[in-house]
Amino acid sequence: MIELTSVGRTFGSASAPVTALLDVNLVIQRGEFVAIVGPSGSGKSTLLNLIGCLDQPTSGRLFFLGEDTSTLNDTKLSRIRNRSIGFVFQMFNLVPELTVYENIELPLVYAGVTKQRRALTTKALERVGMEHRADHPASLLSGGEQQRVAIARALVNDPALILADEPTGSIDPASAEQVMELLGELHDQARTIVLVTHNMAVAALAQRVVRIESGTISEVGRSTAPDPNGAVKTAPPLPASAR
Amino acid sequence: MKLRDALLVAYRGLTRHWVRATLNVLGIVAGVASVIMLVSVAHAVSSSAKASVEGLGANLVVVLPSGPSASGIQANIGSGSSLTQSDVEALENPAFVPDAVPDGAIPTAGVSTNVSAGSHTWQTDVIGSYPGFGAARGYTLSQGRAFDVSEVDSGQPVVILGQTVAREVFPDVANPIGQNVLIDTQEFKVIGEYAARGYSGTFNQDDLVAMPISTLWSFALPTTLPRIQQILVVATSPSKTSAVATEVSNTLLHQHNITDPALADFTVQTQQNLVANAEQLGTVMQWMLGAVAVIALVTGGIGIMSLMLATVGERAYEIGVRRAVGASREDILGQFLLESLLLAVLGGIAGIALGFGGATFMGDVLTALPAPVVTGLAVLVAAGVALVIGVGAGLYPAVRASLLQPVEAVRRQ
Repeated sequence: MIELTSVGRTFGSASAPVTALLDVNLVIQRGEFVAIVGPSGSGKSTLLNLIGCLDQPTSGRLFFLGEDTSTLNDTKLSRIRNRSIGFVFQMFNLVPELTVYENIELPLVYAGVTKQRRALTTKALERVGMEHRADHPASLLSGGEQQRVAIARALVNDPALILADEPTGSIDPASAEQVMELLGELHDQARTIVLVTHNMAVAALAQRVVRIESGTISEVGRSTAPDPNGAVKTAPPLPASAR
Repeated sequence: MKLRDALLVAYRGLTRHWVRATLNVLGIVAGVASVIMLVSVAHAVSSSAKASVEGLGANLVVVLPSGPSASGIQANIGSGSSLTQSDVEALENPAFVPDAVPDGAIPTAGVSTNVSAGSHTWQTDVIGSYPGFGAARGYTLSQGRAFDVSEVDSGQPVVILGQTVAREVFPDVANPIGQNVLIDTQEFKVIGEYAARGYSGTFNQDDLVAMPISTLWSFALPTTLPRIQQILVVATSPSKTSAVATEVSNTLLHQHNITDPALADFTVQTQQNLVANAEQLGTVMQWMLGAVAVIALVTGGIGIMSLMLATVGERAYEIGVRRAVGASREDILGQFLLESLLLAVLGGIAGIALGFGGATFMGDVLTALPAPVVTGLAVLVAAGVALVIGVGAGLYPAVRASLLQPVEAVRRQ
């Protein structure tokens, strides 16, 4: 589904470049649940942003569903983000002034969906159990609730790929468990999940763990939980450090 | 993205900070309103100026004294007048001015002074002239009679009152004919009263006293003022006025021994060129006031631009979120353009309403001014400029917003 060949990403000016990623090679198959782990500043989020077409590599190539993303214009990349990718961020990234319902509806608005919009939005709301908060402003929800809304927004367009950047990083353990349960369910429905975390207990839920350090992939290994279906059910309670 | 959704997003964007949006839209409101109000007033003033010149009478030629003009610059020198009694006599000669009516040259002089009767005093223009003055200037008598040639020759102390003067000096007297008025301690007998003519432009045509010019010279005119301040020459028909103007000009040049017309110590104007002057003045005034008002509009536009720029900076996070969930550059560009367009349209509508209201209000309050006329052109120009400014002011911030990298924007929370 996704293929990165010697991808590099450099920030800053040409005279003082800051290398975030260097020569990354990675293939993610359809239906996989991959965790990207590594210390702060190792380039995990940069990698995730590249995969999510939020950012473009400065060197190398990134193929999304067989297409070289460097050849795509902004409109096509926006279309990929809109139709094929659902994002879940550490800070939820809801539009605070919009209601829960309006936030979840956003991808459908940009997809130009009109007839099905209400039904799809309501379905996503129910999926994360937030229908009782539909008309609340997103800013008034707790962290855990906001993250559930973010997940509803990520899945409302039925994307093939869900990208989660530290989804449990800013919420309480009970909510974190709910969030991971939801992600596990999404994976069970044949969606590809790529998760960034520095928490090994969370990473343990994935099928495959990619370790990244100083901008390069240092290790690719199988997760300690071989059965993805069982993994969610048997997942240990998340330690406080998961926050 | 569907247009309906785009409009909704823009609307939500504005209502979120509605106080700020309102304050900023005030710039456009004030701009549009002032364009409409100022242009309407200018239009009214210029058309009334035109009307007041037209009120002179279409077949009138006016001769005014002026200093000798050198290199096209005319100087009105002191109080001396270049027009004399013999000029008047020459202009009355049908051999010199064949296209004027008989006795068609009418000298006038005037002074602003107090007229009183009993305890009532009123300051007005006292005009000295010939019997033909009323007819030439379009006055008719409502009561009494005009003075005649013999009264001019002998300088009789008789006056004709304009309606305003009659009302102010004789508030309790229905018929002032036969009453006496005091002008500069001299008693004058009222022999006639002009019918009301009302205002022409800002000029009250009923606020005057007329008397024989010789009487004015003897009793009322200060020696510092010229004895003949203008000469009216009445053409036989409106189409003959330019012929009369030429004849008058030639006669006076000959009278004054001037060979070069550029050095003439008088000016000859027909109603037509006075009207043209008034029209030109009005046009200049409309453009001038219009320009001032457009500056106000541009200022309003700058207000919108600064609001939108601040908004873009503040909403980088929101822009990033929208970009992440699939908004393209065009979607973001459109959203911000629509917001400023919406501001401009709302401001424009409010401004037009305020402009209409303001023009009406000004007409009610400033009674000395002619009632402002709201022209369709002024409204169109104001609305058009408001739209252009709205979009223009929104364009740069919108482009800035659309060029934000989605990842940069998400990072900026």
